[in-house]
Amino acid sequence: MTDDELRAAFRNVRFPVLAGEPLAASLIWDAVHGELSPERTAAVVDRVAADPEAALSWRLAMALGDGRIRGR
Amino acid sequence: MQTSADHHDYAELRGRLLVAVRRLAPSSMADQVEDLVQTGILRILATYASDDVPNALLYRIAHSVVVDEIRRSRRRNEIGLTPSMPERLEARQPTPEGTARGTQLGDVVVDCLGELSPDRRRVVTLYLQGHGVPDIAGLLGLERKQTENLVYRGMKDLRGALSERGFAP
Repeated sequence: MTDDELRAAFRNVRFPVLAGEPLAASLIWDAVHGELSPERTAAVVDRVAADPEAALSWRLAMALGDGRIRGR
Repeated sequence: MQTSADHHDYAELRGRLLVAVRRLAPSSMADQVEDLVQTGILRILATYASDDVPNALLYRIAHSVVVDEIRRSRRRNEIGLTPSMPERLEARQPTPEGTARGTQLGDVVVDCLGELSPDRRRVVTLYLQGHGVPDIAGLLGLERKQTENLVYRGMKDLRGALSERGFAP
């Protein structure tokens, strides 16, 4: 299984039944663009790993940003 | 008088949103992409068209609005058919023939990520999201070499966990 196949699989995870409070889109945007501390970014990534909606929000923030990681 | 609506190219914003959502969203959302983006653009226009919003901020707003529209749509059960947990677990069982490349592979990848050590899980998650090693190192405050090792070992762990579930390479 190639890296690209695993990436495609991760992108195609089915959304589970809505439960709990979603991660704020603004928090995800800031994490993607390097505007959070590494510790706070790690906490956001922990959610992204387990929550397909947060993962989609992360990918959209990547696509809509300017491609630069700021702040480091 | 010229408003910021004149300054911003909303057609370009709409086009960029459409391309991004089409490319990045799960296939289960394919039928809803146009409506989601159109509704999002209308909300942005209704709220910000008369304000002087810098372009960089406009894309941040657009991201927030589109994500919100996706959540609203999910609540209306219009997208992302939401199977119950028993249905999802049943769907995750590999077939006897070991056909592992179906649409449920992603669900299993998420399960397997949960078994990785936290540091490996984070770098692998960002790697699967499409980030390269320099970006991952910057985002998580790691050294580049350390990040390379974590990606390598984490992907190896992930493939091992997939293999244990019958999703062999």
